[in-house]
Amino acid sequence: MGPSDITAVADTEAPAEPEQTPARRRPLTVILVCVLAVAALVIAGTTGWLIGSSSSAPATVTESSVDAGFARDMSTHHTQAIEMANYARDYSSDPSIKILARDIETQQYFQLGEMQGWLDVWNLSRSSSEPVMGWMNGHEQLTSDGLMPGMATPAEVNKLETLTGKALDIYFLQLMLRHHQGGLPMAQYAAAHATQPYVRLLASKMVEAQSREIIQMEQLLREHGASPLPAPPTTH
Amino acid sequence: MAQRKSTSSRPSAKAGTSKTRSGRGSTTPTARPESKRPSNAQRPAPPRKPGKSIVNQKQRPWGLITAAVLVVVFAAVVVTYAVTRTSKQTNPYKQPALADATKISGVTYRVEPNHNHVQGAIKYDASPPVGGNHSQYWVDCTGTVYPNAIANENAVHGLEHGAVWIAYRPGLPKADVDALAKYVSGQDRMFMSPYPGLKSNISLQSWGYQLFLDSPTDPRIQQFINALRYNPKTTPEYGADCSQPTFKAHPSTFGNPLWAPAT
Repeated sequence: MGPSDITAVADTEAPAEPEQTPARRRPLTVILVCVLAVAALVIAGTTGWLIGSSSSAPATVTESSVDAGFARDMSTHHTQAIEMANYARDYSSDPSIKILARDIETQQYFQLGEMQGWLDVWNLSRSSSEPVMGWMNGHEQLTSDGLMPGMATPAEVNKLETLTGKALDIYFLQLMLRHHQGGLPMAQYAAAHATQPYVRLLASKMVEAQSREIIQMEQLLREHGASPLPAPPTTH
Repeated sequence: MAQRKSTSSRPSAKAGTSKTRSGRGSTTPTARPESKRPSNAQRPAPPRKPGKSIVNQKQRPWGLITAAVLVVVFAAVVVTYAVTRTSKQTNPYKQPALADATKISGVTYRVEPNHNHVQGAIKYDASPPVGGNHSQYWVDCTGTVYPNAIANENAVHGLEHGAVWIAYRPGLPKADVDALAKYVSGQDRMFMSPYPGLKSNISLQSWGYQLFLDSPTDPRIQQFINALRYNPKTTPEYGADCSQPTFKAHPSTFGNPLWAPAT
Protein backbone atom coordinates (compact mmCIF):
# COMPACT_ATOMS: atom_id res chain seq x y z
CA MET A 1 0.00 0.00 0.00
CA GLY A 2 2.43 2.58 1.25
CA PRO A 3 5.28 1.99 -1.16
CA SER A 4 3.10 2.23 -4.25
CA ASP A 5 1.73 5.61 -3.15
CA ILE A 6 5.20 6.86 -2.57
CA THR A 7 6.30 5.69 -5.95
CA ALA A 8 3.59 7.65 -7.61
CA VAL A 9 4.43 10.77 -5.74
CA ALA A 10 8.11 10.36 -6.31
CA ASP A 11 7.75 9.79 -10.04
CA THR A 12 5.49 12.71 -10.67
CA GLU A 13 7.07 15.27 -8.42
CA ALA A 14 10.67 14.37 -8.63
CA PRO A 15 11.54 16.74 -11.44
CA ALA A 16 9.59 19.61 -9.93
CA GLU A 17 12.00 20.44 -7.12
CA PRO A 18 15.38 19.36 -8.19
CA GLU A 19 17.77 21.03 -5.76
CA GLN A 20 15.71 22.37 -2.91
CA THR A 21 15.93 19.56 -0.46
CA PRO A 22 19.20 17.77 -0.61
CA ALA A 23 19.80 15.29 2.15
CA ARG A 24 17.18 16.71 4.47
CA ARG A 25 16.51 13.68 6.45
CA ARG A 26 19.73 13.57 8.32
CA PRO A 27 19.75 17.15 9.64
CA LEU A 28 16.14 16.86 10.78
CA THR A 29 16.80 13.58 12.50
CA VAL A 30 19.97 14.89 14.05
CA ILE A 31 18.18 18.00 15.31
CA LEU A 32 15.33 15.96 16.73
CA VAL A 33 17.69 13.59 18.45
CA CYS A 34 19.60 16.55 19.85
CA VAL A 35 16.36 18.14 21.09
CA LEU A 36 15.37 14.87 22.70
CA ALA A 37 18.74 14.52 24.33
CA VAL A 38 18.81 18.08 25.63
CA ALA A 39 15.23 17.86 26.90
CA ALA A 40 16.00 14.57 28.57
CA LEU A 41 19.01 16.14 30.24
CA VAL A 42 16.92 19.09 31.42
CA ILE A 43 14.29 16.75 32.84
CA ALA A 44 16.89 14.59 34.52
CA GLY A 45 18.73 17.56 35.94
CA THR A 46 15.62 19.35 37.19
CA THR A 47 14.12 16.21 38.63
CA GLY A 48 17.34 15.35 40.40
CA TRP A 49 17.57 18.85 41.77
CA LEU A 50 13.93 18.77 42.88
CA ILE A 51 14.48 15.49 44.65
CA GLY A 52 17.58 16.92 46.26
CA SER A 53 15.82 20.07 47.37
CA SER A 54 12.79 18.21 48.65
CA SER A 55 15.00 15.91 50.64
CA SER A 56 16.39 19.07 52.20
CA ALA A 57 12.95 19.45 53.79
CA PRO A 58 12.99 16.05 55.46
CA ALA A 59 10.16 14.59 57.47
CA THR A 60 12.47 14.24 60.42
CA VAL A 61 14.19 17.27 61.90
CA THR A 62 17.57 16.41 63.31
CA GLU A 63 19.12 17.37 66.60
CA SER A 64 21.67 19.68 64.98
CA SER A 65 19.38 21.29 62.39
CA VAL A 66 18.73 25.01 62.11
CA ASP A 67 15.08 24.22 62.87
CA ALA A 68 15.78 22.52 66.18
CA GLY A 69 18.41 25.06 67.21
CA PHE A 70 16.11 27.93 66.41
CA ALA A 71 13.14 26.34 68.22
CA ARG A 72 15.23 25.76 71.36
CA ASP A 73 17.20 28.98 71.46
CA MET A 74 14.34 31.23 70.43
CA SER A 75 12.21 29.58 73.12
CA THR A 76 14.80 30.59 75.69
CA HIS A 77 15.00 34.05 74.18
CA HIS A 78 11.20 34.44 74.13
CA THR A 79 10.84 33.22 77.70
CA GLN A 80 12.91 36.12 78.99
CA ALA A 81 10.96 38.64 76.89
CA ILE A 82 7.74 37.23 78.31
CA GLU A 83 9.05 37.56 81.87
CA MET A 84 10.07 41.19 81.38
CA ALA A 85 6.83 42.06 79.56
CA ASN A 86 4.84 40.31 82.24
CA TYR A 87 6.39 42.52 84.91
CA ALA A 88 5.93 45.74 82.93
CA ARG A 89 2.31 44.89 82.13
CA ASP A 90 1.54 44.46 85.83
CA TYR A 91 3.65 47.23 87.37
CA SER A 92 3.90 50.05 84.85
CA SER A 93 1.47 52.90 85.27
CA ASP A 94 1.83 54.08 81.67
CA PRO A 95 -1.01 52.70 79.51
CA SER A 96 1.17 52.68 76.37
CA ILE A 97 3.83 50.56 78.11
CA LYS A 98 1.20 48.21 79.50
CA ILE A 99 -0.37 47.73 76.07
CA LEU A 100 3.00 47.22 74.38
CA ALA A 101 4.00 44.76 77.08
CA ARG A 102 0.83 42.72 76.60
CA ASP A 103 1.21 42.80 72.83
CA ILE A 104 4.74 41.40 73.10
CA GLU A 105 3.94 38.99 75.89
CA THR A 106 0.90 37.32 74.35
CA GLN A 107 2.41 37.18 70.88
CA GLN A 108 5.60 35.55 72.13
CA TYR A 109 3.71 33.16 74.41
CA PHE A 110 1.79 31.96 71.38
CA GLN A 111 4.98 31.56 69.35
CA LEU A 112 6.64 29.80 72.27
CA GLY A 113 3.80 27.28 72.31
CA GLU A 114 4.22 26.74 68.59
CA MET A 115 7.94 26.10 68.91
CA GLN A 116 7.43 23.71 71.83
CA GLY A 117 4.86 21.86 69.74
CA TRP A 118 7.40 21.41 66.95
CA LEU A 119 9.98 19.94 69.32
CA ASP A 120 7.35 17.49 70.57
CA VAL A 121 6.38 16.46 67.07
CA TRP A 122 10.04 16.15 66.06
CA ASN A 123 10.57 13.95 69.10
CA LEU A 124 13.33 16.23 70.31
CA SER A 125 13.84 17.39 73.86
CA ARG A 126 13.69 20.95 75.10
CA SER A 127 17.32 20.80 76.20
CA SER A 128 20.20 19.57 74.14
CA SER A 129 23.97 19.21 74.17
CA GLU A 130 24.24 21.17 70.95
CA PRO A 131 26.13 24.43 71.53
CA VAL A 132 23.86 27.41 72.14
CA MET A 133 23.57 29.43 68.89
CA GLY A 134 25.60 26.76 67.08
CA TRP A 135 22.83 26.43 64.50
CA MET A 136 23.59 29.95 63.28
CA ASN A 137 26.93 28.79 62.03
CA GLY A 138 28.88 31.75 63.37
CA HIS A 139 26.48 34.39 62.09
CA GLU A 140 25.78 35.59 65.60
CA GLN A 141 27.86 35.16 68.73
CA LEU A 142 27.12 34.73 72.40
CA THR A 143 27.77 37.75 74.58
CA SER A 144 30.78 37.87 76.86
CA ASP A 145 28.45 36.70 79.64
CA GLY A 146 27.70 33.59 77.60
CA LEU A 147 24.18 34.79 76.87
CA MET A 148 22.34 34.85 73.58
CA PRO A 149 22.46 38.18 71.78
CA GLY A 150 20.16 40.77 73.30
CA MET A 151 19.45 38.78 76.44
CA ALA A 152 19.45 40.63 79.74
CA THR A 153 21.71 39.32 82.49
CA PRO A 154 20.03 37.94 85.59
CA ALA A 155 21.18 41.06 87.42
CA GLU A 156 19.49 43.28 84.85
CA VAL A 157 16.24 41.34 85.10
CA ASN A 158 16.40 41.53 88.88
CA LYS A 159 16.96 45.26 88.69
CA LEU A 160 13.98 45.71 86.35
CA GLU A 161 11.80 43.86 88.80
CA THR A 162 12.56 46.35 91.57
CA LEU A 163 11.54 49.40 89.53
CA THR A 164 8.28 51.32 89.24
CA GLY A 165 7.06 54.47 87.53
CA LYS A 166 9.03 56.16 84.79
CA ALA A 167 12.25 54.38 85.75
CA LEU A 168 10.54 51.05 85.10
CA ASP A 169 9.13 52.23 81.77
CA ILE A 170 12.51 53.42 80.51
CA TYR A 171 14.47 50.40 81.69
CA PHE A 172 11.83 48.05 80.28
CA LEU A 173 12.01 49.79 76.90
CA GLN A 174 15.82 49.69 76.95
CA LEU A 175 16.03 46.00 77.83
CA MET A 176 13.26 44.96 75.46
CA LEU A 177 14.65 47.01 72.58
CA ARG A 178 18.08 45.40 72.96
CA HIS A 179 16.36 42.02 73.34
CA HIS A 180 14.57 42.48 70.01
CA GLN A 181 17.74 43.74 68.33
CA GLY A 182 19.53 40.55 69.38
CA GLY A 183 16.65 38.26 68.47
CA LEU A 184 16.06 39.74 65.04
CA PRO A 185 19.13 38.19 63.33
CA MET A 186 18.25 34.80 64.84
CA ALA A 187 14.79 34.98 63.29
CA GLN A 188 16.22 36.27 60.01
CA TYR A 189 18.68 33.39 59.85
CA ALA A 190 15.95 30.83 60.54
CA ALA A 191 13.63 32.45 58.00
CA ALA A 192 16.35 31.92 55.39
CA HIS A 193 17.89 28.61 56.44
CA ALA A 194 15.39 26.42 58.32
CA THR A 195 14.44 23.25 56.44
CA GLN A 196 10.74 23.28 57.32
CA PRO A 197 8.46 25.83 55.60
CA TYR A 198 6.41 26.43 58.75
CA VAL A 199 9.58 27.23 60.68
CA ARG A 200 10.63 29.73 58.02
CA LEU A 201 7.12 31.21 58.10
CA LEU A 202 7.03 31.75 61.86
CA ALA A 203 10.58 33.13 61.82
CA SER A 204 9.60 35.60 59.11
CA LYS A 205 6.62 36.72 61.21
CA MET A 206 8.93 37.34 64.15
CA VAL A 207 11.12 39.47 61.91
CA GLU A 208 8.13 41.46 60.69
CA ALA A 209 6.58 41.98 64.11
CA GLN A 210 9.78 42.67 66.04
CA SER A 211 11.20 45.10 63.51
CA ARG A 212 7.99 47.17 63.89
CA GLU A 213 8.19 46.93 67.67
CA ILE A 214 11.80 48.12 67.53
CA ILE A 215 10.61 51.27 65.75
CA GLN A 216 7.89 51.73 68.34
CA MET A 217 10.20 51.26 71.32
CA GLU A 218 12.79 53.66 69.90
CA GLN A 219 10.01 56.22 69.57
CA LEU A 220 8.72 55.59 73.10
CA LEU A 221 12.25 55.95 74.48
CA ARG A 222 12.60 59.33 72.76
CA GLU A 223 9.24 60.37 74.21
CA HIS A 224 10.52 59.35 77.64
CA GLY A 225 13.67 61.41 77.09
CA ALA A 226 15.92 58.35 77.24
CA SER A 227 18.40 56.62 74.92
CA PRO A 228 18.71 52.98 73.92
CA LEU A 229 21.35 50.72 75.46
CA PRO A 230 24.21 49.80 73.10
CA ALA A 231 22.86 47.41 70.51
CA PRO A 232 24.21 43.83 70.48
CA PRO A 233 27.15 43.44 68.08
CA THR A 234 26.23 42.04 64.70
CA THR A 235 28.43 39.72 62.72
CA HIS A 236 26.58 40.18 59.46
CA MET B 1 11.78 -2.02 11.36
CA ALA B 2 14.55 0.25 10.29
CA GLN B 3 17.10 -2.53 10.36
CA ARG B 4 15.06 -4.80 8.17
CA LYS B 5 14.54 -2.14 5.60
CA SER B 6 18.16 -1.17 5.36
CA THR B 7 19.39 -4.73 5.07
CA SER B 8 16.85 -5.68 2.48
CA SER B 9 17.49 -2.56 0.50
CA ARG B 10 21.19 -3.03 0.11
CA PRO B 11 21.19 -5.99 -2.22
CA SER B 12 18.71 -4.36 -4.56
CA ALA B 13 20.67 -1.17 -4.67
CA LYS B 14 23.95 -2.95 -5.31
CA ALA B 15 22.54 -5.32 -7.81
CA GLY B 16 20.96 -2.80 -10.08
CA THR B 17 22.83 0.49 -10.13
CA SER B 18 21.52 1.08 -13.61
CA LYS B 19 18.00 0.49 -12.46
CA THR B 20 18.28 3.17 -9.85
CA ARG B 21 15.83 5.57 -11.44
CA SER B 22 13.01 3.19 -11.74
CA GLY B 23 13.77 1.23 -8.59
CA ARG B 24 14.38 4.30 -6.54
CA GLY B 25 10.87 5.17 -5.70
CA SER B 26 9.52 1.69 -5.21
CA THR B 27 11.54 0.90 -2.14
CA THR B 28 12.44 3.96 -0.22
CA PRO B 29 15.38 2.64 1.77
CA THR B 30 17.36 2.14 -1.44
CA ALA B 31 17.94 5.84 -1.34
CA ARG B 32 20.57 5.61 1.33
CA PRO B 33 23.08 3.28 -0.21
CA GLU B 34 22.72 4.99 -3.56
CA SER B 35 23.47 8.39 -2.26
CA LYS B 36 26.73 7.12 -0.93
CA ARG B 37 28.11 6.53 -4.36
CA PRO B 38 27.60 9.61 -6.38
CA SER B 39 31.22 9.32 -7.58
CA ASN B 40 30.56 6.00 -9.30
CA ALA B 41 27.66 7.25 -11.31
CA GLN B 42 28.04 10.95 -11.76
CA ARG B 43 25.07 11.59 -13.95
CA PRO B 44 22.46 9.59 -12.15
CA ALA B 45 23.44 11.26 -8.92
CA PRO B 46 21.86 14.73 -9.27
CA PRO B 47 18.38 13.58 -10.26
CA ARG B 48 18.53 10.99 -7.56
CA LYS B 49 18.65 13.45 -4.76
CA PRO B 50 15.39 15.27 -5.38
CA GLY B 51 13.54 12.01 -5.73
CA LYS B 52 14.99 10.70 -2.58
CA SER B 53 14.33 13.87 -0.63
CA ILE B 54 10.72 14.02 -1.62
CA VAL B 55 10.26 10.49 -0.56
CA ASN B 56 11.79 11.43 2.71
CA GLN B 57 9.56 14.43 3.01
CA LYS B 58 6.59 12.17 2.87
CA GLN B 59 8.25 9.93 5.39
CA ARG B 60 9.21 12.48 7.96
CA PRO B 61 10.09 10.79 11.23
CA TRP B 62 6.78 11.61 12.81
CA GLY B 63 7.43 9.30 15.73
CA LEU B 64 10.60 11.14 16.49
CA ILE B 65 8.96 14.52 16.04
CA THR B 66 6.11 13.58 18.36
CA ALA B 67 8.52 12.24 20.92
CA ALA B 68 10.63 15.38 20.73
CA VAL B 69 7.62 17.66 21.15
CA LEU B 70 6.26 15.64 24.05
CA VAL B 71 9.59 15.51 25.78
CA VAL B 72 10.17 19.23 25.31
CA VAL B 73 6.71 20.02 26.67
CA PHE B 74 7.31 17.70 29.58
CA ALA B 75 10.66 19.35 30.25
CA ALA B 76 8.99 22.76 30.22
CA VAL B 77 6.40 21.58 32.72
CA VAL B 78 9.06 20.12 35.00
CA VAL B 79 11.15 23.30 34.88
CA THR B 80 8.11 25.53 35.49
CA TYR B 81 7.09 23.41 38.43
CA ALA B 82 10.59 23.56 39.86
CA VAL B 83 10.82 27.31 39.45
CA THR B 84 7.43 28.06 41.04
CA ARG B 85 8.16 25.61 43.81
CA THR B 86 11.46 27.15 44.74
CA SER B 87 10.23 30.70 44.46
CA LYS B 88 7.60 29.72 46.99
CA GLN B 89 10.16 28.08 49.22
CA THR B 90 12.79 30.74 49.25
CA ASN B 91 10.72 33.75 50.18
CA PRO B 92 9.06 33.23 53.55
CA TYR B 93 8.30 36.96 53.77
CA LYS B 94 6.02 36.90 50.75
CA GLN B 95 3.26 34.43 51.34
CA PRO B 96 0.87 33.85 48.45
CA ALA B 97 -2.80 34.50 49.11
CA LEU B 98 -4.46 31.58 50.84
CA ALA B 99 -6.15 29.40 48.24
CA ASP B 100 -8.78 28.36 50.79
CA ALA B 101 -9.82 31.99 51.07
CA THR B 102 -9.48 33.22 47.49
CA LYS B 103 -11.43 30.29 46.11
CA ILE B 104 -14.51 31.63 47.91
CA SER B 105 -16.46 33.60 45.32
CA GLY B 106 -16.03 37.35 45.76
CA VAL B 107 -13.11 37.29 48.21
CA THR B 108 -10.44 39.86 47.45
CA TYR B 109 -6.88 39.90 48.71
CA ARG B 110 -4.49 42.80 48.99
CA VAL B 111 -0.99 42.89 50.44
CA GLU B 112 -0.85 45.15 53.49
CA PRO B 113 2.81 45.89 54.11
CA ASN B 114 2.32 48.57 56.80
CA HIS B 115 1.65 47.68 60.40
CA ASN B 116 3.21 50.34 62.56
CA HIS B 117 1.53 51.79 65.60
CA VAL B 118 0.41 55.28 64.68
CA GLN B 119 -1.49 57.71 66.86
CA GLY B 120 -4.55 59.56 65.58
CA ALA B 121 -6.78 59.04 62.57
CA ILE B 122 -5.39 56.97 59.68
CA LYS B 123 -6.44 56.95 56.05
CA TYR B 124 -7.02 53.41 54.79
CA ASP B 125 -6.96 51.90 51.31
CA ALA B 126 -10.19 49.95 51.79
CA SER B 127 -13.52 50.62 53.45
CA PRO B 128 -13.77 48.87 55.83
CA PRO B 129 -9.97 48.52 56.09
CA VAL B 130 -8.28 45.12 55.86
CA GLY B 131 -4.87 46.07 57.27
CA GLY B 132 -2.30 48.83 57.57
CA ASN B 133 -0.94 51.02 60.34
CA HIS B 134 -3.09 51.14 63.44
CA SER B 135 -3.46 52.22 67.04
CA GLN B 136 -1.35 50.41 69.63
CA TYR B 137 -4.62 49.68 71.45
CA TRP B 138 -6.41 46.76 69.88
CA VAL B 139 -10.10 46.06 69.79
CA ASP B 140 -11.36 43.29 72.03
CA CYS B 141 -11.90 40.45 69.58
CA THR B 142 -12.87 37.58 71.83
CA GLY B 143 -16.24 37.04 70.17
CA THR B 144 -17.33 40.59 70.87
CA VAL B 145 -20.52 42.09 69.39
CA TYR B 146 -20.31 45.91 69.40
CA PRO B 147 -23.68 47.64 69.22
CA ASN B 148 -22.15 50.83 67.77
CA ALA B 149 -19.52 51.56 65.15
CA ILE B 150 -15.92 51.47 66.39
CA ALA B 151 -12.78 53.18 65.09
CA ASN B 152 -10.93 51.59 62.14
CA GLU B 153 -7.61 52.21 63.87
CA ASN B 154 -8.53 49.93 66.77
CA ALA B 155 -10.27 47.35 64.60
CA VAL B 156 -7.26 46.92 62.30
CA HIS B 157 -5.08 45.99 65.29
CA GLY B 158 -7.58 43.21 65.97
CA LEU B 159 -7.20 42.01 62.39
CA GLU B 160 -3.43 41.98 62.93
CA HIS B 161 -3.95 39.58 65.84
CA GLY B 162 -5.80 37.22 63.52
CA ALA B 163 -9.41 38.25 64.07
CA VAL B 164 -12.25 38.17 61.54
CA TRP B 165 -14.33 41.33 61.61
CA ILE B 166 -17.97 41.24 60.51
CA ALA B 167 -19.26 44.70 59.59
CA TYR B 168 -22.84 45.47 58.67
CA ARG B 169 -24.77 48.40 57.32
CA PRO B 170 -26.46 50.46 60.06
CA GLY B 171 -30.19 49.88 59.99
CA LEU B 172 -29.97 46.21 59.03
CA PRO B 173 -33.07 44.41 60.41
CA LYS B 174 -32.56 43.12 63.93
CA ALA B 175 -33.19 39.55 62.85
CA ASP B 176 -30.26 39.82 60.43
CA VAL B 177 -28.01 41.39 63.04
CA ASP B 178 -28.90 38.60 65.46
CA ALA B 179 -28.16 36.02 62.77
CA LEU B 180 -24.73 37.57 62.23
CA ALA B 181 -24.05 37.70 65.96
CA LYS B 182 -24.37 33.92 66.05
CA TYR B 183 -21.15 33.65 64.02
CA VAL B 184 -19.40 35.84 66.57
CA SER B 185 -20.62 35.31 70.12
CA GLY B 186 -18.35 33.09 72.15
CA GLN B 187 -15.83 32.72 69.32
CA ASP B 188 -12.31 33.96 69.99
CA ARG B 189 -10.78 35.99 67.11
CA MET B 190 -14.22 37.27 66.09
CA PHE B 191 -15.80 40.69 66.46
CA MET B 192 -18.65 42.53 64.82
CA SER B 193 -19.87 46.10 64.50
CA PRO B 194 -22.08 48.33 62.35
CA TYR B 195 -20.14 50.31 59.75
CA PRO B 196 -21.41 53.67 58.47
CA GLY B 197 -21.59 53.93 54.67
CA LEU B 198 -20.95 50.23 54.04
CA LYS B 199 -21.52 49.52 50.34
CA SER B 200 -23.30 46.21 50.95
CA ASN B 201 -25.39 44.87 53.81
CA ILE B 202 -22.50 42.88 55.23
CA SER B 203 -18.76 42.74 54.83
CA LEU B 204 -16.15 40.41 56.26
CA GLN B 205 -12.56 41.41 56.93
CA SER B 206 -9.47 39.48 57.85
CA TRP B 207 -5.91 40.85 57.50
CA GLY B 208 -5.57 41.27 53.71
CA TYR B 209 -8.91 39.65 52.83
CA GLN B 210 -12.40 41.03 52.28
CA LEU B 211 -15.81 39.85 51.17
CA PHE B 212 -18.93 41.92 50.55
CA LEU B 213 -22.32 40.21 50.64
CA ASP B 214 -25.92 40.89 51.53
CA SER B 215 -27.49 37.95 53.32
CA PRO B 216 -26.61 36.66 56.79
CA THR B 217 -27.51 33.18 55.57
CA ASP B 218 -24.97 33.31 52.73
CA PRO B 219 -22.84 30.16 53.14
CA ARG B 220 -19.75 32.15 52.19
CA ILE B 221 -19.76 33.74 55.65
CA GLN B 222 -18.92 30.47 57.35
CA GLN B 223 -16.49 29.58 54.56
CA PHE B 224 -14.65 32.87 55.09
CA ILE B 225 -14.48 32.31 58.84
CA ASN B 226 -13.29 28.74 58.40
CA ALA B 227 -10.52 29.81 56.06
CA LEU B 228 -9.35 32.92 57.89
CA ARG B 229 -10.13 32.91 61.59
CA TYR B 230 -6.70 33.27 63.27
CA ASN B 231 -5.29 33.94 59.77
CA PRO B 232 -1.98 32.21 60.58
CA LYS B 233 -0.40 32.54 57.14
CA THR B 234 -1.00 36.17 56.39
CA THR B 235 -1.20 38.33 59.46
CA PRO B 236 2.15 39.58 60.75
CA GLU B 237 1.20 39.11 64.40
CA TYR B 238 -0.67 35.85 64.39
CA GLY B 239 -1.33 34.65 67.91
CA ALA B 240 -1.14 37.86 69.93
CA ASP B 241 -3.96 38.28 72.40
CA CYS B 242 -7.47 39.33 71.42
CA SER B 243 -8.64 40.20 74.90
CA GLN B 244 -8.88 43.88 75.81
CA PRO B 245 -11.43 44.12 78.62
CA THR B 246 -11.10 47.88 78.95
CA PHE B 247 -11.90 48.35 75.26
CA LYS B 248 -14.89 46.04 75.49
CA ALA B 249 -16.25 48.10 78.38
CA HIS B 250 -15.41 51.46 76.79
CA PRO B 251 -15.04 51.04 73.03
CA SER B 252 -13.88 53.75 70.64
CA THR B 253 -16.36 55.35 68.28
CA PHE B 254 -16.18 55.59 64.49
CA GLY B 255 -13.63 58.22 63.46
CA ASN B 256 -12.33 58.59 67.03
CA PRO B 257 -9.63 56.00 67.61
CA LEU B 258 -8.46 55.26 71.12
CA TRP B 259 -4.70 55.18 71.73
CA ALA B 260 -5.04 53.85 75.26
CA PRO B 261 -7.90 52.84 77.55
CA ALA B 262 -10.52 55.52 77.96
CA THR B 263 -10.79 56.49 81.59
